[in-house]
Amino acid sequence: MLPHSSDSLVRGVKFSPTRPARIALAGNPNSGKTSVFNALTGLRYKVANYPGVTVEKKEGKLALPNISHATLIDLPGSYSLDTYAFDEQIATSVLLGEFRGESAPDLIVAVVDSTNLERNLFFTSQLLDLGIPVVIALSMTDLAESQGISIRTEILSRLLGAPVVAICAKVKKGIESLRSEIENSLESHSTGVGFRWLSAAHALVTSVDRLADLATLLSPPVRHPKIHALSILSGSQVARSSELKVICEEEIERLRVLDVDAATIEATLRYQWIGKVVRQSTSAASAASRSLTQRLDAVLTHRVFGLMAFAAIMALMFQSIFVGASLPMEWIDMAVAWIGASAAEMLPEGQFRSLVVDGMIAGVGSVLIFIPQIAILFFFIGLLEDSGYLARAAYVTDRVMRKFGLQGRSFVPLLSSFACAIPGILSARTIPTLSDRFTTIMVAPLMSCSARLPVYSLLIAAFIPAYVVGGIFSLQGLVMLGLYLLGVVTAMLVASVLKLTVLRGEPAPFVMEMPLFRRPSLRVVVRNVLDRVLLFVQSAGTIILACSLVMWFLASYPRDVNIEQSYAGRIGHAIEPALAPLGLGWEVGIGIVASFAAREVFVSSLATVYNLGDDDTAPTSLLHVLNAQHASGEFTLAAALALLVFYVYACMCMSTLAVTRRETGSWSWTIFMFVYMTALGYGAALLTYQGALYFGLGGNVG
Amino acid sequence: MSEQNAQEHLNTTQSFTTQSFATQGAARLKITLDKLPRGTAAQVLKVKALSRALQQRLLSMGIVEGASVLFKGVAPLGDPLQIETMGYLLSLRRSEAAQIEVTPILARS
Repeated sequence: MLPHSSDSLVRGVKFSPTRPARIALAGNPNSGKTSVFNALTGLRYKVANYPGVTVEKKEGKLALPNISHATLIDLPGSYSLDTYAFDEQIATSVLLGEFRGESAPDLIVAVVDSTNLERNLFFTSQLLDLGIPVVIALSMTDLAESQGISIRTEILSRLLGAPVVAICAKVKKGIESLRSEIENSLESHSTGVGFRWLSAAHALVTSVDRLADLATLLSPPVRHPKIHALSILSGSQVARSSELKVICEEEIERLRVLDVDAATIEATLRYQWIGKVVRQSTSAASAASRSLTQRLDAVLTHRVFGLMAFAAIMALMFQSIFVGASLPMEWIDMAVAWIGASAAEMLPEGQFRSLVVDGMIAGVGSVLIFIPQIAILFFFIGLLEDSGYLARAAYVTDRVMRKFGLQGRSFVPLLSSFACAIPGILSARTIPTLSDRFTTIMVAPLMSCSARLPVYSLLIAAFIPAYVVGGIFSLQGLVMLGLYLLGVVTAMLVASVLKLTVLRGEPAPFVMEMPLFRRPSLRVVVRNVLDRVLLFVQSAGTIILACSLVMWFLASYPRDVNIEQSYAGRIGHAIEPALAPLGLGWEVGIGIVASFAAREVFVSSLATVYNLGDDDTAPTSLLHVLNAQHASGEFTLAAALALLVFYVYACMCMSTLAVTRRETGSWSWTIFMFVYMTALGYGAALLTYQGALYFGLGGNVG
Repeated sequence: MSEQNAQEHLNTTQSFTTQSFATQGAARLKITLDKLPRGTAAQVLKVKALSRALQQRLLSMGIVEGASVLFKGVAPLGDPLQIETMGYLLSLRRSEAAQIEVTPILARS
C-alpha cells in the first residue's frame, strides 16, 4: 500500500485497526442465530431495512477485549449462498461484498446448530470458501448433550479448518470464548483453506480449475473465480464472458459423459465431505430425546386433532388481538383526548390551537392506536415461531391456501388482518418468496378489520330489521357474517387473479424445515415485539401523521365555516354525482371523504355532518337520524347495502397504504392497491344498489 | 403405491438405471418419494427437479444422491408431506416429492 494513501483507499482492502471491523453473523434459520446475536451485542442494536429492499437489517456494537470498534451485522437466515429466496440473496450479496458498494465483511461468525450438524454445515462449507476468516459458533450445545450428541470441537475445528466455539446462548456459556476467538481471527486474518470438500481426485476439479483460471482474466475481475466457476457449471449464474461460456459448455459435456451431473454434483460432494467430518468428530448415542417433538407432532399434525389444535390456537390469537387490544386502545384514546383537552386549555383559541389539538395530537394518537394490536400479534407470532409451531401452521394450511395461488405461510398474516391489516401486512415478512409475500400484502386489507366494525354496526342497526331467521340466527348477525365472507372470498379471488397475471412466475418451492419444538425464549420474543413497534412508529408513523394533518386541514379550512363548506365538505359535494347512482347523498360523501384517513372516522364525521346540518339544537343520536331518514325514504335499504359493500372493499385507510409502501418498497404497488380496492368498492356498490332496486328494495321497508 | 405398480414402474425404468453410487450392482426398486409408504425409509437416487429453484433448495436441504429419507407423515388435508432426513424434519409438497427418485431400503412399520 502506498504510504500516502488516504483512509478512503484503505477501506475495503483488509481489516486494519483504523476503522471499525465489520463482522457478519450468518447461519441457517432456526439455528439459534438471534440468541447469539443478542448475547454478543448485549441487546444493544438497531433495526433498519437494507436500503431499497424490505429485508430487515440488524446492526449492533460488538464489544471485544482489545479491538474497540466492531460492528456485528445479523444477516437473514440462509440455507445456501446459491439461492432463489429473496432474503437469502441479500445475505449472499453482503457476504460476497456485492451489496450496494459495501465491502465484504472482515470476518464471518457462522452459527451452527449442534443438534442438526450436517445440514447446518452445508452453508458453513460455502462460507469457508469465501476467503474471509470464519469463526464457527456451535449453538444449542446443551440441547445436543441432552440428546446424547457429543461433539469434539477440537477435531471439528481441525477438519473444517476454522476455530469452533461451543456455546449455549441461553446461559451465555462460551460467549466470552467466542469474543476472544473473533478477536484472534481478526488480528491474525487467518482465512482457512476452503474447498476442502472438493476432493482432488474428482473429475469436477479439472473443470473448476480450468474455468477459474479463465475467470481470473476477466475484467472487471471476479472476486471469487472458483465460486463463479461452480455457479456457471451448475447454471445458477451466467458466464461473464462468451469465451467462459463456451468452455463451460465443453466442461458440462465432459462431465456428462463421465455421468456427472454438473447441477447436482457440488451439493452431493459437499454433503459427502460433511458426512465424513461429522462421523469423525461426533458421536451420537440414540435419538431418544426427540420424543417431545414427536409427541407434539403426533397431535399437532394429526388428521383430526391437528386441525382442531390449529383452529384453537388461531382462535386464541385472534381473540387476543381483538379483545386484548381493546382496553389499551381505549387507554390510548383517553390519554390522547386528555392531552388534547389539556393543550386546548393552555392555548388561546384559534388556528394554532386547532392545529395542535385536532391536527397534531389527534394525528399522533392515530399512530399510537395501532400499537396494542401490533404488539399482541407479534408477541403471538414470536411465541409460535420460536416454539416451532409457525412452520406447523403453514404445513397444515398449505393445501387450502395453494388453491388460491398462496401458500401455508400466508395464513397467519391474512388471519391477523381481520383485527387490523397493519400488523397483518407487517407479518407477511415471514413469507420467504417475494411473489407470495406481495400477493398476501395486496389482499390482506380485504379482510374486514376491526375499524370497519363501527361502520358495519351502525348501518346494520339502522337499516337491517332485527328478524330472527330459522329460529336461532338474527338477520343482523347474518348480514354481518356475510360482509366478512364477502371480503374473504374476494381476497381469495383477487389472489388467484394476481398469481395468474402480474405476480405470475415459476412456482416457488414450498420445501420447508420443521424445527424441533422447544420452549420459546421470552427475551427474544419481547425484544422482537419492541423492534416491530419501533419500526412501525418510525417509518409508517410519519406518513400516517402527515396524512392526518392533511385531513385536518381539509376538514377545518377555509376558517370559520361549518363542515359542509370546508374543503372536505366541498369534495363531498363534488363527488355527489358519483354517489347518486349508489343512492347516496352528499352527507355520506363527506363521511366517505373524511374516512379515507381511517374508516372508523366515518361514524364521527357523519355525526358531525348531521348535527351541524340540523337546526334542531338538541343533540341527535346518529342512529335516530338514520332511522328517520330510512323511514322517510331519503336513505334507502338499497343505498345502505351499497354503502356496506363499499366499506368491505374500498381502501380507506392511509395507514394501510403507508405500511404497504414500506413493506413493498414501491409506490406503484401502493397505488395499485388503492386503485383496485376502491374501484372494486365502487363497482360492487353500484351493482348492489342497482340490483337491490331491481329486486324492489329501493322503497320504504315497513 | 402397490407392489405391482412399483414392479411395473421398475420394468419400464430398468434400462435407465444409472451407475451412481446409490445403485451399485443390481437394479433396485425405483419410485418417486411421494409414492413411498408411510414409515418407510429410502435412499435418494436422483433429484430430477423441473425448476432450478426447487432443485437448488432440495440440494441445499440435504436431498442429494445417496441421502437417506424417512417418510414421516402427511398433513391433515393430505398435502404437504413430512420426511426426516439427516436427523431433521422437512416438509414438502406432493408435487415436489414426485420429482425425487428414491429406492426403499427397509420398512419400519
